[in-house]
Amino acid sequence: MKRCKNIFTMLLSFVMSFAMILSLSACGKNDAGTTKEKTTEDTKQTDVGKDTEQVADAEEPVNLTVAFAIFGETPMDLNKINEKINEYLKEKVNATITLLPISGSSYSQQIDLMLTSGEKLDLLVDGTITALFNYTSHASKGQLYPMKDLLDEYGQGIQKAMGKYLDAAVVNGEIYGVPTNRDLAARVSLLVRSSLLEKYKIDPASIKTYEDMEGLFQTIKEKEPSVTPLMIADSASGTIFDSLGLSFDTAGDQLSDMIGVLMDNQVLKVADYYETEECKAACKRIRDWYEKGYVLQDAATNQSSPTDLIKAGTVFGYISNSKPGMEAQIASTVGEDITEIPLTEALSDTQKVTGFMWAIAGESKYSEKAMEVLNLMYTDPVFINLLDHGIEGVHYKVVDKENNIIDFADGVTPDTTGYDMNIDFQFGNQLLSYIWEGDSPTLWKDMEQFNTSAKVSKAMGFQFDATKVKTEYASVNAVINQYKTALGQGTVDPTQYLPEFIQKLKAAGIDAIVTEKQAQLDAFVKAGGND
Amino acid sequence: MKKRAVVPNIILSLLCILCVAPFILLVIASLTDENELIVHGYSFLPKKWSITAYVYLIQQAAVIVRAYGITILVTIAGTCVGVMLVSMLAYPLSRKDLPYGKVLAFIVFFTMLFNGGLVPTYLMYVRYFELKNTLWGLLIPGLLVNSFYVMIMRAYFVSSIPEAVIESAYMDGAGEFMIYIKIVMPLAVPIVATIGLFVGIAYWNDWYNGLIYITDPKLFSIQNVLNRIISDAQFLSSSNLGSTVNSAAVSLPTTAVRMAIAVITIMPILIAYPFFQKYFVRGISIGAVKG
Amino acid sequence: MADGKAVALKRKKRVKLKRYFMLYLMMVPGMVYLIINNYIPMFGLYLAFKNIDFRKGLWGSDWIGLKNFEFLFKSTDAFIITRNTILYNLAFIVINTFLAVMVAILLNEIVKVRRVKIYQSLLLLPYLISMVVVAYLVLAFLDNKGFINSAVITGLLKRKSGISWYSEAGYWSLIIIFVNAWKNIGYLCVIYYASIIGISVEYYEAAKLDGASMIQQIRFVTIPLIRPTIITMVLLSIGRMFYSDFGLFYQVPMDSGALYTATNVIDTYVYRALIKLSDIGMSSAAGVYQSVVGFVVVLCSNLAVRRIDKESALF
Repeated sequence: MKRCKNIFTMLLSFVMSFAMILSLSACGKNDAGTTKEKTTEDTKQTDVGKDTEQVADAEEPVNLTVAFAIFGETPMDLNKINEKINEYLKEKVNATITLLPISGSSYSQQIDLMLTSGEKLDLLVDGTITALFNYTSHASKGQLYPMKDLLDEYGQGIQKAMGKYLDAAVVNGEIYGVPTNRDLAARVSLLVRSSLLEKYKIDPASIKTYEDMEGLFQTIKEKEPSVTPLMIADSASGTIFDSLGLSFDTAGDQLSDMIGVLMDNQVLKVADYYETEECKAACKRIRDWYEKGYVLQDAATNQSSPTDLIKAGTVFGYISNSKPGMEAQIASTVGEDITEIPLTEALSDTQKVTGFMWAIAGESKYSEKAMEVLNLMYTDPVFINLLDHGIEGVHYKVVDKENNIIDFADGVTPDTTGYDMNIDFQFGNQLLSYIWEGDSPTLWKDMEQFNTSAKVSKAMGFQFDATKVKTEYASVNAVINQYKTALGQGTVDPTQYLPEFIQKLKAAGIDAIVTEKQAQLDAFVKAGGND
Repeated sequence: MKKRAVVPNIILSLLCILCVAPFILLVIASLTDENELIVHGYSFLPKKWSITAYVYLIQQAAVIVRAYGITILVTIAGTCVGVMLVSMLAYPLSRKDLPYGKVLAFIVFFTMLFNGGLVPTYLMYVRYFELKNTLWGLLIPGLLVNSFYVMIMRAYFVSSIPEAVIESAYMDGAGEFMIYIKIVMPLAVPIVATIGLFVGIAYWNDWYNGLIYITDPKLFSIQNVLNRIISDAQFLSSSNLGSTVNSAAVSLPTTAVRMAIAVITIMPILIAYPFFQKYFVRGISIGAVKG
Repeated sequence: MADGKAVALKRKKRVKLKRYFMLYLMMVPGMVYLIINNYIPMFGLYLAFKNIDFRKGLWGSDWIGLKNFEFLFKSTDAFIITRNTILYNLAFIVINTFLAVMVAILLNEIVKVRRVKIYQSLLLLPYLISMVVVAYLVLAFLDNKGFINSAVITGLLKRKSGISWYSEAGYWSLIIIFVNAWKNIGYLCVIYYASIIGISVEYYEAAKLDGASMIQQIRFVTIPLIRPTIITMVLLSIGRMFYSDFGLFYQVPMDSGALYTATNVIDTYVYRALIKLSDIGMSSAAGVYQSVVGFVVVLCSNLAVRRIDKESALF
């Protein structure tokens, strides 16, 4: 008993002293923090002054923090590549960068916090993919650095590479982001297992209408009872719901967020999609497929991706937005041949172009250097390939110099490689990067062709600023979240749920948003539109 | 005193089974073949077993071990300091004779109701305390002193420490701090162990501080590593990222892997738990000695 | 005479000050922490009344009164989410407290120390894990191919098809209450058990001498003596009446839209509404709303407790 007590007092005194140290060091840290901040601010100011006076002088290289989103593990060799990049950049533009990969699932929140607190951040990926970014909100609230003048002075390479696409990022007359060069258009396609098409002798070219699709699903359902013909992934449920009514039937423009759309991308008339006949028909069709067993029944809880289920052999295919090289991409993931059946022609609109962009943080002290580095990211294949593929000989080897084809370096496999983020589309000009062996050698040529030949929506370049109707916008988003997935996967009966959905949208104020959007769109056209 | 309590034993056994069964299913699911899970579903007796999920995790061993180290460090430091601060705050508040005691108790309690929200808290900690990407970021924000525990401990002191004992010790010339250490704390072992356990669990299970204050993977706690795998999978399977992101190329952890991840996060708690139990038992024996 | 009295009073005061100084000193570290961690950021509540524009700065933005609060009441669901939040919390308080006290009393009846140890460990198990993991446990049971469907409903009961749990809102109020009880009872029970074993054995022996039965001992000794703890715990939960465990209402139902009528609470609503806006003003507004209403409820219930039993009131 006594011994226990001793141990107890000992423990207590240990804890006490620890706490003392803790509180002391916390205070100390506080002081150090503020003074440090002050001094860095001072040096920063002098830095900026010097920067403009004598650029060519052998200054201490500026360090830029560069944030981007990753999907999966942080690569093991990131630091090695960062060092290599810095060696290169120091020579080129006298700057170094600190790569800051942030996991996709927390990207939006982390970037919001970083932009708000004004901590060190210079370049960041932003855009209009709503699950990842809040570009328009950041731009309209003044959290990003205006780029127009910087582009003229330091970003000629970007202007040359992106051309008119830069206009798509304009918010309130100013450019706050530069789209990355990648697929800037998309078509809606049905991606299916080639083996089953061949087995039942179905010609993919023969599938053009809903009836054709249904016939295909019926065949699969009857002849392969263990295979579900179509998977509507949670992530794609919106896509299908929207594209069946909006792209498949009428070639509309989603206007980024589907809250107020153009039913025809050549007619600038904003409508509430959920109220339209097209939407009703799409809901009914999906419900019909659900009841006939053409689509996966447990879509609501499914957390496997379509490719997982195709790999497992339980699913025949899925509908997705698509781009050149998609077949090869999916095939390499699932390990069997995939056939793409295009359902619509390619369309280019604001959302596709501004989905991923580079922006400069509003409080960045080195906006000019940031633009210089960014310019390299759109023009310099060495820099781009370091970011995309790592170090030659360590992570990859060039197998065809002429066509810029690469493969994993000797002794390296997809599982053992120290650098394989698969996010080339974020690093500036993807079209200047190497092509993996197995992809089409003409991939980037095809992509360019795809981008330039795609139909362009008349609302291209229109960015909606929701600040004025934010109350309604928030309420409407909550309603959409509730209904869209269930309706888009056919798990509920649209004759009951769709009217309920529409009525709740009205109560939440969707009409006010549509009116505001129309007004902003009219103003956009008046100011010159996308010409 | 010696009579056997049959009914309580039966009820408690049933409740325990109810609590444990899901975990057994979890462990079995993590050991079930992935295709078996997709085709036949979950079962306590799967037809096909597989250890692929754990093989996958062993490949990540370096990351996982490092993260474990960080979690253990933060949990121990946080629990020791936290319990001490909580008890030193709770004990004076439990004293009915303390002037302004009620006001102070209200000041403590009030923090449970109002909080400034994430953004101001973040601004303060990151701008003025520079906690971003330091271990302090895992240790300090939010978790150290939970006013909820202060109130619970205060209630315990009020009901279980007789005023007469304190008063007589004071009359014997003991200072208040000595009374706290020599008399109050030994009597409070059960509640200290209990609160210690809860604070420890809160630190162990915390992923929020890591999500907000840590972006450097070197400082990830085990919960951050695992939460990131799980939430990335959820994110990729439920967010519409368009055709640009080749989300198909990102290998999502399979169901079995997710279950295995869950198993390895809870395992250390299960191992450490019996050690805490010692203190509960001592609490009982002190009561007995007193009687 | 008056002088002497004043001196005596002064001396008494000094003695008192000396005595209590140490107690105040002990509270300093904890209080400092609460001031930094909780009170300073409270100035952020001010943001709820602002239209944030970073060009004007966080504090310099325009004052817009209650506009940020509108979205909370705009939707027709405003009533449903508030009702859900309150009713669930009431159910949790009543059911969890009752069950936890019962289990703690049962534990106290067990004499064998090792058994108590085992029971406690197992009962506490669910509390040790995060809600994300709980969500997976629930999924293992309720998935379309989950244990309940594949083994119980189609297996044992020989029904043709299982229940599609994640699209039938009807079951979910019960499922959520059950999951919450399952997860938290072990924890509450440990707190109550710690209180019960803190009770001096003398009380029980006195009661036994008076010929009290087991039930009577529980009713007249155990319950009254742990009442302060019970009241504290209940009052504390009442303070959180307008908050809800996000994981329980978001992760566990797998964010399934079909279940929202049963699972939508204030926290999940705010999350879903603001996910695409990232508006600090509006999220602060939601926080202010929850805090203020929760505060009023607690003040009222504390007042009520004070009327009945002054000792047990929180303040």
